[in-house]
Amino acid sequence: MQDQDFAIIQRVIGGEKKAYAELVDRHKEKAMTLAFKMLKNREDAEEALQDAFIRAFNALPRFEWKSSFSTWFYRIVFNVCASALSKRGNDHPVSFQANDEEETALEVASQEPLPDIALESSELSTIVFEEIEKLPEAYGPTFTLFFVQDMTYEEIVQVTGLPLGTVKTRLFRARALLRDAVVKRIGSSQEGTRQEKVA
Amino acid sequence: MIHLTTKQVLQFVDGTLDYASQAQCTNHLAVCAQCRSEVEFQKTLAKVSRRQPTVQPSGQFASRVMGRVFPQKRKTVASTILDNLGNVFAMFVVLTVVGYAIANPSLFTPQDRPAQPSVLSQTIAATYGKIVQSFAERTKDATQTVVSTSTNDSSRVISMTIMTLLILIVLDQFVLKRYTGMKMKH
Repeated sequence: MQDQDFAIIQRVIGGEKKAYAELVDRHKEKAMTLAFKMLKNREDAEEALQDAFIRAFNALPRFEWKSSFSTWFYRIVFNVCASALSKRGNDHPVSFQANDEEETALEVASQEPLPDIALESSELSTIVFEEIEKLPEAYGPTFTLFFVQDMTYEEIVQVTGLPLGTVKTRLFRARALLRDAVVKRIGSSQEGTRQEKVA
Repeated sequence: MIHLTTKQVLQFVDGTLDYASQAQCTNHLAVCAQCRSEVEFQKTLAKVSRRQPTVQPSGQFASRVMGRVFPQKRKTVASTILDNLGNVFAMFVVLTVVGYAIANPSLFTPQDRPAQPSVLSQTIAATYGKIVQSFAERTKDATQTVVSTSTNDSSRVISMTIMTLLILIVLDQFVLKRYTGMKMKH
C-alpha cells in the first residue's frame, strides 16, 4: 500500500501530475468515511474531502515521508473537517479537543452478562453497524481511524493531535459503549422472540 | 474470582498488553469462562467493526478533484489564434505551393530533358486530371486553365503538394507537439 503510494507520489513530483488521480482513487473511500463521520453530512464531507485533496496536492513536494502518506493525508482531512465544524458555530457543537475523560468505568469488569448470541450472523452485523452510528460524535473519528483506516494508536495521535491517553480512552469507551448497546439490543430482541413463542 | 476489567479485555484483544500482563490474562482466561466469552465477544465486535460499510463519494469524484487541481483556463481569442497558428501556417504553405505551381507549370519542367514521371505520379496525375476535367466540364469556368496543364506538370504539382503535406504532418505530429508537450510539463 505504502510502496504504491510512494511510487505514485514520485511520478507526480517528477512531473506526471495526472497520476495524482490514482492517489485520489486509492484513498477517497476511506477518507470520505472519516469526513462523513465527522461532518454527518454527505455534501459537506465531499466538499471537505475535495479541499483536503487539493491541499495535499499543493503540499506534496514538501511531504517528507516521516509518516505514511495515508497518516499525513488523514491529518489534512481531519483538520479540514475540524475547521468546517468550527465554522458551523454553535449549531453543531462538537469538540474533538482532549479533555479529562474518566477511565474508571473501564477499570471494572462488565456487569451485564452476555446473551446467547449467534456470532457472525448478518443480524449481528446490522445491529453493530447501527450502534456504531449512535456512538457519541467525539468518539466517531477515533473509532473510524482505528477500525476503518486500520490505524495504530500512535498513528491516530498523529492524525488527531490528541494525547495518546485520550485516544486510548476514547477508543476503549467507544468499544465499551458499543458492547453494552449491542448486548442490550440482542437481549431485547431475544426477549421479544421468547414472548412471541409463549403467546 | 476477580474478572478482567473492560480495559484489560480490550487490550488483550488488541494485543497491546505488556508481556507480564498478557501472561496474567492468558492464565486467567484458561480458568474463567465468563471472561473468555467476553474476549470472544469483543473479538467479534472488532471483526464486524472492521467490516463496517465505507462511504463512497459521488461519481467522477477523482475527475472533479483533478478539475480543481488543474482548473481549465478560459480561452481568449488571441490564444485560440495562437493555438491554431500551426494549422493556419500549414494551410498557407500548401495553398501557396499549389497555387504557385499551377500558375507557373513551366517552372517544374526540366529544361535539359523531357520529364519522365514515375508510375505512381502518372496514376495520381491521371486520376487528378479526370477529376479536374469533370469538374471543369460541369462548371466551364476558369478551371479550364488547370485542365490545359499537361499531365507531366500536374503530376509534379501533385507530388510536390503531397510531399509538402507529409512534411508538415511530420513536423506537426513529432516536432511541434512534442515541444509544446515538454513545455506544458514544466
